Amino acid sequence: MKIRSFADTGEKRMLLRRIIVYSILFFILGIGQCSFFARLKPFGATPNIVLGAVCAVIMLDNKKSAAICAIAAGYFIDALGAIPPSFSPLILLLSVAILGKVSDKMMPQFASFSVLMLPTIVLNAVFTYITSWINLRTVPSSSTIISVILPEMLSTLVFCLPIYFIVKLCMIPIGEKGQISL
Amino acid sequence: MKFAKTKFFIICLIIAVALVLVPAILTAFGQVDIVRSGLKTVAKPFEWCASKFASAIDGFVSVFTDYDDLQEENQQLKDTIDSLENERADNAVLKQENEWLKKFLDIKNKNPDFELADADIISYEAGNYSTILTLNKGTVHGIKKNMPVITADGVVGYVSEAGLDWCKVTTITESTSKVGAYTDRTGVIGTVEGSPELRREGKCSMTYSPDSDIKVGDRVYTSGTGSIYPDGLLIGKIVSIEADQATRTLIAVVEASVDLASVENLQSVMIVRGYVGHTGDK
Repeated sequence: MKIRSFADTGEKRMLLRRIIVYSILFFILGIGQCSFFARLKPFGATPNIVLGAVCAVIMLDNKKSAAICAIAAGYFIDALGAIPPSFSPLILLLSVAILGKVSDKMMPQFASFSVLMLPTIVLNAVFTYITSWINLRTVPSSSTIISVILPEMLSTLVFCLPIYFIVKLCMIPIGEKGQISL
Repeated sequence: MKFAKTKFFIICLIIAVALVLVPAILTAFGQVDIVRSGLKTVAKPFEWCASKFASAIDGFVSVFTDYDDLQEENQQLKDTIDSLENERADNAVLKQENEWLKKFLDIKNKNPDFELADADIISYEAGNYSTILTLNKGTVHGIKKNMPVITADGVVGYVSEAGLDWCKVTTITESTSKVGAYTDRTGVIGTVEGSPELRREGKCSMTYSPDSDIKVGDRVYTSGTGSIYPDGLLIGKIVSIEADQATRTLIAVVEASVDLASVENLQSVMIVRGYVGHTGDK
């Protein structure tokens, strides 16, 4: 009983650390995406760096952490830069489910993350296409694909690669890869 | 899809759907999502900072990325400057022309009996011994030999040769030129003649009776005697009184009121085609 209590305290402390670290990380990334990159528009589009960070969390931490981060961050970026109906929590959560499967057999290293980014940007493009379809209420034209989706893919690919190292840095206070018990 | 079938994921999915639907429904009913609003309020100062930082970077980067645009804009500005320079030059010409016309009008007002024709100087033949001006008006314009040529400043000379659409003018400083003249202060009558020595300085000499009252500074006008010049045109002013080495008499050196020392500065003149009592026909 005494040992269990000690273990519980350690787990709670670890959970608290996760919450704090991920809150700060996704707060900064959310603002970065919705204000900094939304203004700068590298390659003509705002990169989805939050999705990149969620991918890094899948790889470096676990899917459960990534799922919770996806819902919270999705809600946050919708609050900052979208008008309802906006689907970011749902899209990011589905991304976690799909990319989690893809990343199951990957080693938690940058090379694997770079490979994982390829299906990530394709998935992001698909979700962007569907979202624009819902919002525009018409099938997006080829010009939309060229002017919006392709630049977004490129921008996301380029700016998500460094995100891996930022998330890896955040793993230091959290500790080694493990599961959250909820 | 093991993870997607877990209880944890399904709970997450329900939460996510709720987080999508609740704000949408609240917005549809005109309500405010307090959580979203609170998050936005908390993030606002950070957003402001991020936006300013992005603007600063954008401004810096645009110096390089917008190089082509800047180059094009620069070219356009250069073209505009060229255009404005041309316009300014045109304006200068118009201003000059305007001044000239004012003078023309002034002379016309002062001498209503003058029948004037304006002419541009098209060439200067300033040799060592003579200065001949060629004007762009000739017999076809009613210009004839021995017509006086003037400017607003005074007498220039007379038409010594007239072609179809050109004429040559001999200035009053030439040794072949002789003009009957008088001084304004005392009315001393004399003859103003060109002199090879004084010509280059734009001066000529005035011979007069030895006992006459003449001073430096007296202004000299045409007397109307002779066959060319009408009465009262300003020739110049006396700048010195000297002894003529050849005739051993005193002569007054008259500086022409029109700067004939540098005739190249003259652009236009007026030819007096006729005046009361004289039609220019000789």
